Amino acid sequence: MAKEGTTHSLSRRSFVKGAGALGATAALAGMTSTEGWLKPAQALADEAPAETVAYTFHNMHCMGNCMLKCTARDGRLVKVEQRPNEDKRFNNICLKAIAEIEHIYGEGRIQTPMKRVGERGSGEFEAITWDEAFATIAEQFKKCQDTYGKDALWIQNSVECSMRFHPILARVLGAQAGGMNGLDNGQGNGMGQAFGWEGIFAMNTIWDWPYAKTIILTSNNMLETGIVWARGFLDAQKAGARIIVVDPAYTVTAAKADQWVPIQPGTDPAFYLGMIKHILDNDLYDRKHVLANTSYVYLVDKKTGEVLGQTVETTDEATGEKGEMKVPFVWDTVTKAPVAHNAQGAKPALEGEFKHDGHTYVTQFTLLKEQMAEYTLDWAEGKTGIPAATIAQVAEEYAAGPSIIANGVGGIDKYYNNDVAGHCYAVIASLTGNYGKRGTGAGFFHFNPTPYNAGLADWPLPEGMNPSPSPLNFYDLMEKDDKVHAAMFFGDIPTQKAANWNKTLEWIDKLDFICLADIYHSSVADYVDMILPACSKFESVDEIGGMRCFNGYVMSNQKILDPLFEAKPDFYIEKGIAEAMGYGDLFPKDTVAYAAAQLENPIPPVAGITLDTLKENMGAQRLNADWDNPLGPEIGVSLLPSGRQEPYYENLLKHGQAFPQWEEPCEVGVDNPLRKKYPLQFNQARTRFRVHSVYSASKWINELYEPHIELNPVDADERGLKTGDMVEVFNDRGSFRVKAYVNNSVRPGSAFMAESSFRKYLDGTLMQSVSNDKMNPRGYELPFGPMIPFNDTLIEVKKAGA
Amino acid sequence: MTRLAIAIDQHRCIGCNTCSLACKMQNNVPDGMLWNRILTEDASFFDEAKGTYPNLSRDYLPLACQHCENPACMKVCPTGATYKDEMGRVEIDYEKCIGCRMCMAACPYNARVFNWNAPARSAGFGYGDSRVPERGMGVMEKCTLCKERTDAGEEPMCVQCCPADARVFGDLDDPDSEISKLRRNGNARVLLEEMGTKPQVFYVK
Repeated sequence: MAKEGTTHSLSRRSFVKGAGALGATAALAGMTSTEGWLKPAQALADEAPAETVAYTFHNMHCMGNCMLKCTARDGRLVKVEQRPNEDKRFNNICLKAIAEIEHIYGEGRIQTPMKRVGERGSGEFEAITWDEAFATIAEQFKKCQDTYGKDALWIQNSVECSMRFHPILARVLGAQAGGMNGLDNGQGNGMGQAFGWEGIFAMNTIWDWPYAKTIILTSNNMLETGIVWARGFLDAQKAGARIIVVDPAYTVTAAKADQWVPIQPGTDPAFYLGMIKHILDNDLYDRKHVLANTSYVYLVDKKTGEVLGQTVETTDEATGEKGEMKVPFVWDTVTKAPVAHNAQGAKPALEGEFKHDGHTYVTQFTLLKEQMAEYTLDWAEGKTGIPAATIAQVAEEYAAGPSIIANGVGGIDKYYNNDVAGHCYAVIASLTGNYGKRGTGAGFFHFNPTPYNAGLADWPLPEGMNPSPSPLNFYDLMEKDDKVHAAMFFGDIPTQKAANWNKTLEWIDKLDFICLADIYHSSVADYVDMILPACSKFESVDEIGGMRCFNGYVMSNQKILDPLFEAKPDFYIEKGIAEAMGYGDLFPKDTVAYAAAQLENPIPPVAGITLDTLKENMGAQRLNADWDNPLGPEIGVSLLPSGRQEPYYENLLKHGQAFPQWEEPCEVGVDNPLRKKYPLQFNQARTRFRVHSVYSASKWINELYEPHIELNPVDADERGLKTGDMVEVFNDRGSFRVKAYVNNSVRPGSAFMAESSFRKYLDGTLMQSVSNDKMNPRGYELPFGPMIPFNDTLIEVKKAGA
Repeated sequence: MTRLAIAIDQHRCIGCNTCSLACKMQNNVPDGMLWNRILTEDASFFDEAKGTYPNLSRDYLPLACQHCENPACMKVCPTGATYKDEMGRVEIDYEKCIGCRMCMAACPYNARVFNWNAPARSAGFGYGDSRVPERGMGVMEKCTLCKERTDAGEEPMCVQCCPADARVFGDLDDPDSEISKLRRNGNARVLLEEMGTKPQVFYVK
């Protein structure tokens, strides 16, 4: 705890006004304390013990993948710095890497294998040996698979528990390995189809930003969630780009932006629909681009919405596989007839209604105008709370270009209507020509900071040795599962990839056996039958503990430290289980062998990179690529076979979303009668102090931050709450307890909380107890499935115990 | 002469606290103490916004020893433990410090932290740069401008680690240095100028 006169007290005379972090939470003793495990501290002034330096890379799940130089002294991690790099873009570190110096030895570490001896949730465990752990798991897994089939076992890995290699165990056992995540891909689901990419990531990089005049950051708090790419933001601003942030909360990023658009939560699609309408009404679209490069000229059957076209056979150049494809038609103003969009000499009509073969056709552009008719600026103002004039101004600036729309992977992604927002970005970008050229683009930018990436080879397994398909995703299991009887998680999947904790717990209770491997005592740990201690990214048995390709680099995870406590690398946990089940010989003999296999028969970008050359180059090497051109070539208007941008999604006709249409959030809509009972919208997001739940137990970070829920003063006053009060947060799904802070940065009618501290730091409760688990059925037809609507959640807050 | 200093661009400071922990690590600063911290200006807790939604502002103020030309702390030190060195840094001779805390009271920036007890480190051992001397109970400590690093021609650790390039380190007596140019640009401010301490650390926006 902070003592008088230490860091955390401000000047007693308040000469310099301002506030630092509040005090630390009380140290919680228990079975995870370091006491007894570590040798006593050695004074630095004594004869200095020898230092060793090794290199690794840090978190994958914040997408920073920072390359690190780590110093150990007397076998302890004492210094974590950036790996030297002349290319400043990749010379990165943030507070979380530095905090590891305490964190990996700290109170949160799981130190030894344990089996549960008390009720689920009681936290009563008993230490066991690795031999007992492996034997028990092998017995349970065998019983499960022999009785109910291979796919009755669910083994899901996550980067929270290192995962420095492609996991092997689920493949070897033919277990289910988990389906889609239900996270991060909502806007991407709605956007990529228009340009021919799948996923969330923009095709160009953040280094394109200085070439833009206007950048809209939407659902994007990158200055907290992508700290190490902050230079991309700040340097673009310095170069003259105007940055507009659309967010309900006054985030760090909103505060640094040139303009903040404080939007009603869950109404982002309405803001962008209003922009589309304004762009159309005021001829702000790029007519030349629209005619030449988009599907707005395609003809659509007015009655059915189907695109008129001719189906042709195709042959995949690589595989020789036959397929078919529709070549869309346009109305040729020369011949006054429908022709293929790419017909020589055709002059397509942009607008109009045309009769042909007894059908009535309109162009997509005409259809868009009709469908956007109701989305006036005033309508959009009514939904979003943003003045009509502001929506018009943003639309005009964006349309003038060159402009970028850079979404994050939270915010609207965590509402029911997430894909509609992404779909809107595709429409405004394709209307205004703001996609494909230098200084334009759309997508998630604070990852893939180079256009150069490559895959590494996998560990070879006998043919056909794959996980069983997972017809259900993790978030589906609670409602629909009648197959899974045993589960193993590497990292806290159950609280990260599902909402509505009490339902998740019901599913856990149905299982015959559940095991968790994790580095830290995460929330789910108290509810499993067995806990296994995994190594942090700094510990390894072998000289190289992992290898990945990120950010244009092949990065090796060198051994910094021997495994701490009784922890094992996740690779050796998998291998230990496999050995106990008789499959050990299918695994590499060690992690060096796995790393070496990844560089065998390399594809050209990886050619010449070996374990030896990596060692000579501080653990990491750039791919063979055109590094003199860090931006890469312009990405071009479209990757689709037509070469056009196609924001009209015929496959979503049955959902009424071929063009984006307004859809209310499922719970937080202003007219929802449930608001009478639960008037506050609950917003959870990542901040600088966490990567999801990791760092919950970091003492250094806890000296800067304590878990809390933030309320606007208006809402706090109504409830008689003040900063520091313990509150209960609740709705019909459940409740949890946490401290309240009163902060004007939160929109009135909302509450904000950083995801997702371990239950130990929330008075034994879990914040996912209240979150909404209703999945949008449309999502199942989108490339990445539906998104969990964590933020489409209504709550009430009251003083704890009141 | 040499006057080493740091300039901080408050627009580029994103409040991430990487510098706070980089300093803590480098200098083996014990639990519950920081030599360098990020404050939120005019706020009652970190990250609080000023104003009423949606008319808000928020400015981060990284704060450590200001390495004043006219240090209030040095004047009140009865033993000469606090001194101004030849590089323009304000330093503490830990051997001479008697723990009277006069300097702590005198520093208008509240930049100093005191070892009320034997320093505790939950990591269980001393970390950071082995060149950094140990401090015990009853001794005052604060930012040394990474003396051990800057003596060896390296940047202070907070400067090296800042992911937003918000910090510029250099010699104010070198008119061609980047920091001297920033100091001259008219936008620079020092904290509590009226105290007459003449901080060498300054802020730009």
